[in-house]
Amino acid sequence: MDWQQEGMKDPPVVQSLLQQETSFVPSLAKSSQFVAPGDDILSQESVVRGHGTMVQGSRLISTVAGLVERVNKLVAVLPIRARYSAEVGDVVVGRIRDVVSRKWKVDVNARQDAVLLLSAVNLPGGVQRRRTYEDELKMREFFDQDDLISAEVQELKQDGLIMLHTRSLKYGKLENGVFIAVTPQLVKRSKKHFHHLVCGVDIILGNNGYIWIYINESTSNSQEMKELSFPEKQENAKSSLNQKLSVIRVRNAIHILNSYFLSIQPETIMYIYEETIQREIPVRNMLRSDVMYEIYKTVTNTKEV
Amino acid sequence: MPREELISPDGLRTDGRRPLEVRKITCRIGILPRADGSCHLEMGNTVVLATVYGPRELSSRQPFSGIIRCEYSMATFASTDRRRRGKKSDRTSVEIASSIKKTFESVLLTDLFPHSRVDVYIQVLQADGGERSAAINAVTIAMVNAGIPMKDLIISCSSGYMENTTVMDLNNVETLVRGPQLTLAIYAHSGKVALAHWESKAAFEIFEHLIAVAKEGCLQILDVIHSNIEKYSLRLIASRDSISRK
Repeated sequence: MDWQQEGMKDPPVVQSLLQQETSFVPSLAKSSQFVAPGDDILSQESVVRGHGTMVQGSRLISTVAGLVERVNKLVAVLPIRARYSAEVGDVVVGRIRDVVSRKWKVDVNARQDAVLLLSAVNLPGGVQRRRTYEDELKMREFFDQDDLISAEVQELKQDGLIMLHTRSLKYGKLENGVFIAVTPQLVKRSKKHFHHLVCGVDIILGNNGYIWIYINESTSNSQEMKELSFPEKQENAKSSLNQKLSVIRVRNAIHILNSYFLSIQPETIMYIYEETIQREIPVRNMLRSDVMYEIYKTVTNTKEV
Repeated sequence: MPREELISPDGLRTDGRRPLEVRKITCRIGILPRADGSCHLEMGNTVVLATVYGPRELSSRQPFSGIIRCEYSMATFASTDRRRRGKKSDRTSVEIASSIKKTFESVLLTDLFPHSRVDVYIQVLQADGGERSAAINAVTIAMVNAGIPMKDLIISCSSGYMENTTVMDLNNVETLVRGPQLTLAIYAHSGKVALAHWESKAAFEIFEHLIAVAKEGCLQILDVIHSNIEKYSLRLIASRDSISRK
């Protein structure tokens, strides 16, 4: 708990550094068409219009800036940076923003707060049963304001409201770890979002760009399966200093990937992680802008400007 | 009272431009990592920082389509004007904020983010004429940066009439003359007028001329802004996949 940390105080230097990198000429993007809002999308007759497009008169235009994606007849434009737009089945990490009657409001970096119903969580005891009035009163004991949780998108309502559920042992309250927020577009949808990295650190790559980094006690020293949804408050004395340092190294590696807009996957995280270990960069120096730039140049093979 | 010459015999303006020439535009996109979209735009010596947050949760669930909130402020060091100004109570700031809000309400697809709001904060860091235009252009870019769906880009430019000449993109000296002045914002692709703000009366003969000149200025600015957005976006796309082991 005492080493929980948020991505709030990112140095703005980092982004401006990205700005200066103008000589880096993109070449691979040429294969598909780039459009800005209002630009015409080159297309044949009878296409199915997807996200990021709209029809104005006889023209098919884009509403966001990005590359045109075509799948058979479906034409869509994916924005390069945007808020998280949910899909059913996504794994997300969220922060409880409010507890209201029979539901939690969860911040998931989307256009509006997601909703986690009391009836969509696994209650302690694990037995399926009706939610009583007592459960309703005890909601703050399950998840209180500012708690972090992992959950899955259960349903999308007509108006875009996201309904979550935590009805699996995988999901639930997150404790004793580090949180970092990144651009959601950098996290690709994949089969797996709970990863165990080679360095012994576990990460939850939320589709919404919220990432949780922790040491999974049950995988490191396989104990009896506890009630994962509502674990007893663990003492973090269990994890050693080295474990904590590697957690933070992973966190900083993700931060580097995010500041240079590099894809965030277990492989890329480990690449940065190993690179910093090879160069013997101590964790505390990883976020110095010159160090970050050096690492960035190495991992992307960008030549000196 | 001796009047300064605004247009030299050679036909050059006080800052060395020709009448139909816009100032140099530089923009830096996405400079604030914690904002959804941001843009630092310089039009000559006018510098504006626009920040966009959202779409994000709106506390009341009343409106079905999203709403926009806009705040405009001028830094105390932005101009040589020594008037003491309150941050929000300033009448011109409120007026500019509400006109920008209305302009963007017409172009954002607000029904795609119901029950949410978009917050726009505009700060003028240096005022050298055309703050309203610069603010609109900066907000457009910041909106694109935030990935908020919109029908079209909105581009703005000013024009004015002085010494029998119509000039484009006024600077502060030219603004202070208080001649007929127009700030025009157009939809980039359709060319329709999104906002027209007149300063003092204009004779009927020059009315259309002012509009045509401002429009021409908008198109010049559009070129710069569009290519900036494209450059920025393509760099990010290329960057995303550039990480790989040798």
